[in-house]
Amino acid sequence: MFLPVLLWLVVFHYIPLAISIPLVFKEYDQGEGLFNSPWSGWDNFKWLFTGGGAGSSAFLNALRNTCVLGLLNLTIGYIVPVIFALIVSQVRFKKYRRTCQMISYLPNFVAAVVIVQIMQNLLAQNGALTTFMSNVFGMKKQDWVNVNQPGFWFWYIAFGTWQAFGYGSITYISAISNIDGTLYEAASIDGANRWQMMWRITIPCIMPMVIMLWMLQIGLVFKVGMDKTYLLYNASSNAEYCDTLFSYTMRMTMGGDLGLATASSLFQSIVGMALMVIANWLSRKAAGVSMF
Amino acid sequence: MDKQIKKSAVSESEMSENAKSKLITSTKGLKTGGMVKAKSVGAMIADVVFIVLLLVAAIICIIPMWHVLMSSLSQGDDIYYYNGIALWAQGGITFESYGELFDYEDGLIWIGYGNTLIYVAGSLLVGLVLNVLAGYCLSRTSKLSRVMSLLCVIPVVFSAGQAPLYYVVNALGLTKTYFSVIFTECTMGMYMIIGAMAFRSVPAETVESARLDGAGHLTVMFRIMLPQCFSLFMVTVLFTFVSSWNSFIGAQLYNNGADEIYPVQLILQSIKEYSDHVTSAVNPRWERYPMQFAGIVVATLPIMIMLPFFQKQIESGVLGGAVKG
Repeated sequence: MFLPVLLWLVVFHYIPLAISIPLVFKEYDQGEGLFNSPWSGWDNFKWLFTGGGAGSSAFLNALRNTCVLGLLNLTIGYIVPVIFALIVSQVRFKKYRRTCQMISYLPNFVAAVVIVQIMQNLLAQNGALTTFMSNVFGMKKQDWVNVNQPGFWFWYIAFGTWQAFGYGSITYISAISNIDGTLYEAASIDGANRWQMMWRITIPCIMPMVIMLWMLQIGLVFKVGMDKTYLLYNASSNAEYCDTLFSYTMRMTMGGDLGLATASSLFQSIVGMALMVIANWLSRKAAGVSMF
Repeated sequence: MDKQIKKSAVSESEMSENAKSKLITSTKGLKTGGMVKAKSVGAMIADVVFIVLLLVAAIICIIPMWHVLMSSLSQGDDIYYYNGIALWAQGGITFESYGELFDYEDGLIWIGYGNTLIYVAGSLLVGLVLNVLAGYCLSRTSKLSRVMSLLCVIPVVFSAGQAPLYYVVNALGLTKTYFSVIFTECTMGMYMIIGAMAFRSVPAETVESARLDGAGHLTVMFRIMLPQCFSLFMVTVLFTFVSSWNSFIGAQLYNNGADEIYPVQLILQSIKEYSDHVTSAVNPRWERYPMQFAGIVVATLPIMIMLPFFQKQIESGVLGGAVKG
């Protein structure tokens, strides 16, 4: 009965995995076919890191952006859901709380295409957010999604956080609601106020979980939804700050350069897995919880 | 009595020494009196503050979508020259942009819509069958189940990316067909493991008694177990539905150039390009500018309306995933 599943796994996961080896180590030529293409050793990887004599390597640039965006996501994008969960847990009216929670999940389910279009609209030169930010904080009035400036990173992360914070808070809200109620009762009999209860009970109780999930998240730095960067990418205006490993791979695949695309993906998978193993080890050491 | 409670509170929690002393001092404060009244006023203020904070967060979540909805109902030139968040339709409510959208390239949006429905239905069907079969096999305790679950988990952790998959799909002759997207995006290892968890939740006695009555694997699976645990499969159905509705990568990659089977998300891209272009003409046809917003509304509204009914499933899906890592 496992046969259909096995067939699906083999055809769409294990055969691609096997084929990646000739793809990476051959000079793939669509006309000749994969089997007749000549072996080329590590040329594809060399090309990735040197840019093939073009001076700068687009891959290294994409790698830098992936790391920066991943790290920003691990800090800003990680704290906001925890703060939101703390706010939610302090509100007592259940219906109101549930409704607000549901609204906060919505952006997470909006398509990447739509999110990107909203970004392009709000951050255009005379877009609503650009105007607001320039009036309030004196930020420059320019098309923020089409700039070669670190500001692009800021807006990408801001929108990414906006999209994911409600959804990301689900785990913490459930953890908070699972805290033993007698702790709060005892504390309130002892005269602790809400701030004290939050700082001394709620936060210490969810901290191990926050730390554990954070460390597990390290392993996923390279995998975080970067499909938006593929849509935002514009060779002439924001390539230097927008290109990520995902968009790079996608562009190479679309352009027919399967060798480079596979090399980039394999690099991503191998480093990602190494990070995951390290993060798992860290999490086991620090919090006593691990994935495998 | 007071002491006892204090003791239990401290022993049960992981409070630091510092916290204990804080608690003791606050107890002293209570004894001196005069604190009860102040506390209740403070608590009320705190309540209001948290309610307002939550409201602000909810508004931040919803307002970009509201802006899009209102822009789609606005007059083209008014919304183009308006540079704030559109809290209400600029220049009065009009449905002109929707008319333009439905007329665009002989109703291209509806073709995209139909294609998306085919992709979604196909992914749901194939995905559900695979998840149920895999879940059943993984849930049974046999020598092979460990190997099988390993086979399901490896692709989650390690993949060779889009390019070799594209090569395989191309070699199978699936490019420019609906099947390319359906087969590659219908499920993933994570959902199979959720499926296994669902089957494990069915009590073993039920299965055993059915077995004794002479029921085979298929009967047990579909007639006895599945009806009992289908609510858990709803999570995978819901997530597959949303992800295949929103997906564009697969169609862009495998079906590139085959416009007639583009999903609605890719159509939105071309509508956006077209309607942005309108504004640079000498005599712009302004009613075509809000088309892009109308497109977003048409493509997103069904999901936004549907989701609130599935709040429980969304939450249990996240928590199930978190438990399993």
